[in-house]
Amino acid sequence: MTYALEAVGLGKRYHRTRALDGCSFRIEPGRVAALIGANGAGKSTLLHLAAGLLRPTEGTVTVLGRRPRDQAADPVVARVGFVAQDAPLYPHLTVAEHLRLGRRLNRRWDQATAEHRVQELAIPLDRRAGRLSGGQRTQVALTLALGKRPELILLDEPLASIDPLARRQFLRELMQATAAGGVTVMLSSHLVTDLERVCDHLVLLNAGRVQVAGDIEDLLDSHRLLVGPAAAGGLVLPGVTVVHRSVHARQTSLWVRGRPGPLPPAWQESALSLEELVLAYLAEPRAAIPTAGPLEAAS
Amino acid sequence: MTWLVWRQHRLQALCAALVLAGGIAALLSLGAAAHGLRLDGSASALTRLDGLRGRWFGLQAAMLQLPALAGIFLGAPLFARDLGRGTHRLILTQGATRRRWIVVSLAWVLVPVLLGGLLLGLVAALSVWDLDEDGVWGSFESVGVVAGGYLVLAVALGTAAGALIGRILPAMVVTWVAYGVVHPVVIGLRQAGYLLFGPLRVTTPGTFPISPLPAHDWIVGQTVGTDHIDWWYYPLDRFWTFQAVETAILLALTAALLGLTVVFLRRRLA
Repeated sequence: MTYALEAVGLGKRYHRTRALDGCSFRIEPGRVAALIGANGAGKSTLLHLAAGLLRPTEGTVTVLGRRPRDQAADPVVARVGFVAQDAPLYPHLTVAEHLRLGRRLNRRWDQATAEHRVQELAIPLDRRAGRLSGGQRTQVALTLALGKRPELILLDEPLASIDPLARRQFLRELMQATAAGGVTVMLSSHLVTDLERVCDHLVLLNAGRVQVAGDIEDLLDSHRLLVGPAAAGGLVLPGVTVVHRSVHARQTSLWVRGRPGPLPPAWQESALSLEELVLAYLAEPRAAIPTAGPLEAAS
Repeated sequence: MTWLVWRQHRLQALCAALVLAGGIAALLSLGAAAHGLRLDGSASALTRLDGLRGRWFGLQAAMLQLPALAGIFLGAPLFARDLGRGTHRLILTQGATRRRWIVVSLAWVLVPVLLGGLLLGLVAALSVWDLDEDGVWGSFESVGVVAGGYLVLAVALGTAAGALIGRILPAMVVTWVAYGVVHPVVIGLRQAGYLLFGPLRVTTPGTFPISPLPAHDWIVGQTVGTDHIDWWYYPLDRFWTFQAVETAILLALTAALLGLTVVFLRRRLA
């Protein structure tokens, strides 16, 4: 199977600092993947590697089955759309001139759809990019990326410069634009709540390493929160791995992976939200889902 | 890519074209006036020729500022503008390859600068020809082909600084300072070259100092003997030899700086 995006042991070092280390994950075509991690976790580096802006120092990344930096006559990055953080545009160029730039630089370019999209968003074509709002700027950058008719689209913190009220609408429009062609999307954010609604796949980065990667439904299905008395803080359950444990004066909470069997009395089991799951892992940087684990096999 | 480079440099191109046109017009009017006075040859005409020389010194002082200005305003922002704003990530993911981005940007700035500099230098050489006996020697840097060489060197210095630093303002300052360092070094090399080649000697009988040499030979010294005078001079063909050598040095430095620019840019994108 050709994955839309696949990383194997992917690493990137800048001089002595390690931005990414041993990252492995796969994204199937048609997925909408959330790349979650704190600032400095390596999200931008990962997306730049996938877009061919950087070269890995270890391991490999393949997009649509090929290396982003291969020297082929038909470079694969022509089929990858990318919107960098803060959606950089030329402040003195108008929106129409940006579309012209896209038309001139790309071999495949859908001018009609790009123009239509900008007009539908009520962004004046003759306005200079420097005078657009943050949200409009992101929309123009996204339109440029979509104009390539990409099969994979990578968005680095697209919501950061958008008004919180407009975020949901932006995501809805993004989904509308990408749903039809079965485009694979990966978008990064440091906030899981932003992306929860639209994503079906999660890659969680922590200090340059992939902590969790997989189908969100499977992940939620296979994790549980167990709450019991404080005295039973050392409870050992067969068949589950404790991801994170917190013992308070009155109760013990265990975030576990795997389905526990019958619980001792006074214990309660509940499902996790995606945010709770992410926070549990972020609290335990050394906890990670084994790469060749059952999740991988199931997905 | 060409369109984008043009679109981003419209203003600079207009300013450069205005400066070039203004410079050429000033030089030609100066040259025409000097030529007329030289043909006239009368005492009053020669006095007025002295006045024209003052005008040429002013113009020359302005021309000597051009390389640094070109380095600061054309060279330094060439890549630093994109790197500082992150727009290189836009164009490099919009289908432009690294090579195309670098080569097209450099070519569309350096080639016009070189051609403009050569044109200005040759017009200057033509114009000051009648102005002064050793006029072309006295303004070595502003006339002839070296004028183009200094311009591209300064621009290449700017692009290297911009590619290394990645922000416009610091790159401009570094360009200014670096040109201030490189410039005297090249002048030092030139003077070493003069010494290395050594002036020629010609001897005239008698002790009355009338130069036996054609107008455009550069007399650097004379020693008066009891019944003769030794003249030390550089002939005019040396002028063009020195021009060619200095231009070659400038172009070699330019090539090295462009190589550095490419290295710095590739390092950012590796």
